Amino acid sequence: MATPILCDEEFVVVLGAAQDGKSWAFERLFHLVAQPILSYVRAQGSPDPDALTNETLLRAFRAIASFSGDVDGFRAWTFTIARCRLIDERRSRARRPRTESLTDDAGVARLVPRGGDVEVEAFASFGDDWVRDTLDALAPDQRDVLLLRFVADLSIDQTASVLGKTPGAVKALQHRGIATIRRTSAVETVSS
Amino acid sequence: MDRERSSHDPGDQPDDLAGAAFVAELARFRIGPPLRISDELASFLDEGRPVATVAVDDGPVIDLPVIDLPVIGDAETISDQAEGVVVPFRRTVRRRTRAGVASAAVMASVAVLGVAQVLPAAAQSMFSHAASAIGIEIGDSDSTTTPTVDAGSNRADVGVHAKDPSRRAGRIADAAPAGAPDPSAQVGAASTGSVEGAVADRADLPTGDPVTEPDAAGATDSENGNGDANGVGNGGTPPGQREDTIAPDGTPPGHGGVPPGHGGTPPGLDGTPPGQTKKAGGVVS
Repeated sequence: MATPILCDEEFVVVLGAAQDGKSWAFERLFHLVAQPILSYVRAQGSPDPDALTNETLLRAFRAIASFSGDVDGFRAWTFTIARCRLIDERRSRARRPRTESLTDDAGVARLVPRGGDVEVEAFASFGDDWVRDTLDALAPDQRDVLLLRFVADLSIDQTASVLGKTPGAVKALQHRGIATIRRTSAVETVSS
Repeated sequence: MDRERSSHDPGDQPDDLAGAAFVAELARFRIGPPLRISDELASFLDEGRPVATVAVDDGPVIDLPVIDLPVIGDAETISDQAEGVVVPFRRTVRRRTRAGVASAAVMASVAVLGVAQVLPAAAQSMFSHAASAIGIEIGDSDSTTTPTVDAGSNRADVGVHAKDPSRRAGRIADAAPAGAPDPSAQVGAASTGSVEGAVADRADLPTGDPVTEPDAAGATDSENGNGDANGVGNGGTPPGQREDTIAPDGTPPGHGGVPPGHGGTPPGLDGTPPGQTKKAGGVVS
């Protein structure tokens, strides 16, 4: 689903209406950020990306009166909430005993839904595994930056805002992340 | 020169095959299955943000669109909708007091607390604490135990009782602007009237010395960066150490402590500005 674009002037109207509690405004904001947040938390390996996305949006909507800023700021703000929830979820998971499901359905979310062409599924599965392994090989900061940049589609400045870093630091992390991927891929190619 | 670094401008899209392939794979996350929307979020999208309307005793019905509360129907509806809702009570009070409408802050507390009884115990505790900070206790018309909501009449029976008349007078008078209506009159009109006449003349308030006596090691609260005894924001130099001593972990002198003027009780809760201490009797020094 393509993320709808709101110009700044339009966003001011939508934000004002949302702060007045109007449902149509919440719907516009929902369409602005819901799918990117879902994609981001799914890529981060959340065991229940739907629940986490719902919770993120509810928190943002409940606190909408406290937000001020433009559309870019709003996106960064909601992703900040999502990232905080992800961290909470990981901490909570680390405290609980780990359980493994015997079915594939409960595993880490797949990039694309299964069902249909076997060949397509096989290639998709191969891609999934490669992406997962590659993400695992990255430092957490690098992984955060790459996912916010290329999955959530945030700008350098927005990513910096979400992570509490400078734009320069984000650029450097992205560069190092890509370099790590390049090295990892080269090693895999040679060894295979 | 590092060829890899020089050939790639940090922040640009990856220009090598492996990087580009990985980014392309990452982009596939965007086309995953759509979000399964929860009932709670769906109600937000369908009905907008809930607004609270609370009737306090025989006083006026109060609408509170600025805070996140469930729509008030009857007691059963309140219980259903309020479960798990967290009300930004403190912010509401602070915003209103800063806007110079102290009486409105008290009215809001009354209304919110009227609903608070159906919220989880932790939330109720927060409300009680916040109410206590502005010197009132909330109960029903007869007691300070708890407000009640009558399912039949769809009304909250909320009583406001002065916890400590002198303390309350000091706090509210501090927040009220010149020419503002007498907060006690507003509270009395909207509640049981149990606080009427409770506001003392500020000239009668007890005074005392600021709490700046040195601790066991000779450092005062202000030096430690601590707030007052009830506040949050502790975490300055541990007792027994001054900021200009070298810490055991090697922290250089002058580091590690809360800067002067920081670390006190948040403003607006009990009226003590950050970094300031209190005199006995609740007067801000």
